[in-house]
Amino acid sequence: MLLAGFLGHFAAITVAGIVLGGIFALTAVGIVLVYRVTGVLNLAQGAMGMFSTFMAWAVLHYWHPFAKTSNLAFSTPSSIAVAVVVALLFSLLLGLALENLVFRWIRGRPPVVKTVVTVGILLTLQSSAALLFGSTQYHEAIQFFDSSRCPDTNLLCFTIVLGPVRFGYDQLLVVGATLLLATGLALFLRYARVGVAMRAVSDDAVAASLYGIPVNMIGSVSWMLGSLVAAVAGILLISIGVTFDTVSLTVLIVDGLAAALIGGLVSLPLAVVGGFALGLLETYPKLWISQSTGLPKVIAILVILAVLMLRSERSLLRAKT
Amino acid sequence: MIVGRRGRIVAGLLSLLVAALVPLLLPVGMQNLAIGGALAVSVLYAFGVLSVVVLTGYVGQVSFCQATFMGISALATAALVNHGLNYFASAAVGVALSFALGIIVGIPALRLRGILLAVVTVGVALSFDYFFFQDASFGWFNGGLSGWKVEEATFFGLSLNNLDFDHLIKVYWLLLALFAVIAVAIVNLHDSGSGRRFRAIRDSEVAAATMGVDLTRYKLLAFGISAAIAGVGGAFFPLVEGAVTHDPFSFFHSLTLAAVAVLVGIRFIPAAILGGVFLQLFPYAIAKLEQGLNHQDIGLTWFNAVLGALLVFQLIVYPDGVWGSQAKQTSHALSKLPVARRPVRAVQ
Repeated sequence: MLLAGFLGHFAAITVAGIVLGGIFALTAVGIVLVYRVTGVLNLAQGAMGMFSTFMAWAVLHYWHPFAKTSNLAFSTPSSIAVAVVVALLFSLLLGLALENLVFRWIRGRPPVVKTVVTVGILLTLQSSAALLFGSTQYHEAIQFFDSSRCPDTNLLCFTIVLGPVRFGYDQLLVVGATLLLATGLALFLRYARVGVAMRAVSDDAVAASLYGIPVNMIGSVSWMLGSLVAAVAGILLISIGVTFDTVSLTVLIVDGLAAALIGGLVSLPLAVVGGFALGLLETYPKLWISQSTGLPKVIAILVILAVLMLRSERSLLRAKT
Repeated sequence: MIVGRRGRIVAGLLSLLVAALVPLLLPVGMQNLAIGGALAVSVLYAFGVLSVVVLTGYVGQVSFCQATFMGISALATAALVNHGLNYFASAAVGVALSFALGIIVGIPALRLRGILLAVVTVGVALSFDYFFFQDASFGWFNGGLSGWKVEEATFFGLSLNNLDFDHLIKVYWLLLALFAVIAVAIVNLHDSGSGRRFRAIRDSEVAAATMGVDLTRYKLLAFGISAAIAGVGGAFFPLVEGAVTHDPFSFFHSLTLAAVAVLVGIRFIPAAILGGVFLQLFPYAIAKLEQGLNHQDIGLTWFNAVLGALLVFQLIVYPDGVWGSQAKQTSHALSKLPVARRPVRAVQ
């Protein structure tokens, strides 16, 4: 009986860890994509996702399309769909703006300078989100499968029960979207014309431009994709939570960096694997420690340190700088 | 160098003297608790910016965890004072802790440079912020949710119990004097043998190692010194505020410190005090302007939003920093004058 209880607990925590890992994997994919093509190690990846996510929240909170009040909008599927589409479009615009207003003009500068620029972007996005949407109060999450829409007879209508394990639809959505996006991006980079051009720019931007590849456009595409992935990660993260605030999404950057470093900052598949592994690592201490705000971040920095100590610096900086 | 070391020290001390006179020149209406506190805290932040100047400007090591070094010292000092230890001894322990943490953070820096070091320091700042500074299980260190209140202690006759304008101005003068001592020490360090080794490491680690510079020793030393300077700033937070929480030492404050240092001039010590004033008084002024939202946090948020944008703009337009670009343009303009033109030395 005791063993069965533990197994159920263990299974639930494993599922939670995999779901969290999916979010980390998505963040890492965005970091790797942008770093490989443009040579910018983007510390604002979390902040970009945060801002786009808040656009979805703002659509529901202020505009509430297809719903009478903002409270209803958060559990109306059509409203949520509009909000998500608006947020994703906004994220594309954000990526386009960042490349064309900022990163185009600092091409060829030292990598550290580019990273400090991303710190500036992080501060601005974080602070303007706090000013626009409020920093202190928590914001209601956007739940795709709100249990309030279930019939009274079956409160587990959005859940698959397999023995001791329960998969919520929202959890399956996170894992599915992660795998789908990562695979899609990998295939895109491998087979699509633009994807091949992106890899060419990542190998040698000058040579690529001599072959007639529009390097600026490729930069825009990679920043837009990076920003899109960040937005998806942010929206998915708040869809499995109860409330969220500006900080919790911005600090995803450390977990994303840890996962991206597992992939050597260049490998998409390894970054995804690293994300899932980190998610499990950060969640398993909950088997013994019920509540700790800081332990996951400590695990993330330990993973970062371990990877940096085990891999040679050259293999980590192989991508274009 | 156009101006010698002595000239720079005299100029720096003169500007500190001007800074010391500021509270006396304030109109009576502005001699209130808020202004006094803002002045004193601005010196504390100047220590933080100075630590970035030393580490990044002199030795070329990127760090996004300077507020963490301040926080370790501030919380340790407050915790020890709360347990009845003398303030001076507590501050010494706090600074020593910062120094030790600096050395520890310096260890990965022995292998890493540039962006990878930046990643490590971001991780350190975030994990310390969330774990040691905020986690309830470290209540014995961070004082729990409400932080530490230190009202019983005294420091050089300055009681922490009555925080009025006079008290804060005395603290302000004390901190300025301390800052002057440390800044002169850093200028001397910059021109000493160790300083030359630091600069050699900044310009090229490989070249420095070839010339026989002990990279391990000097990189760790640089991190230790920088963390200790930040720690001095942190150790006096309780003296100014009478209380300490984890709030001023968050991950975002580390980023703000680094951004301010880059913006005002990463290689100039006077820029540190300017940075501190900038970092404290501008949020205060913005908070004053924002009618009805007379709150320091709002000011800081506005400040960070503008700061980030300014930083991005500066790094695009002035690659050497505003001061560096201006200095280069001035020297370029001077070299155009016929008087100043030096004979071009033949190559070989």
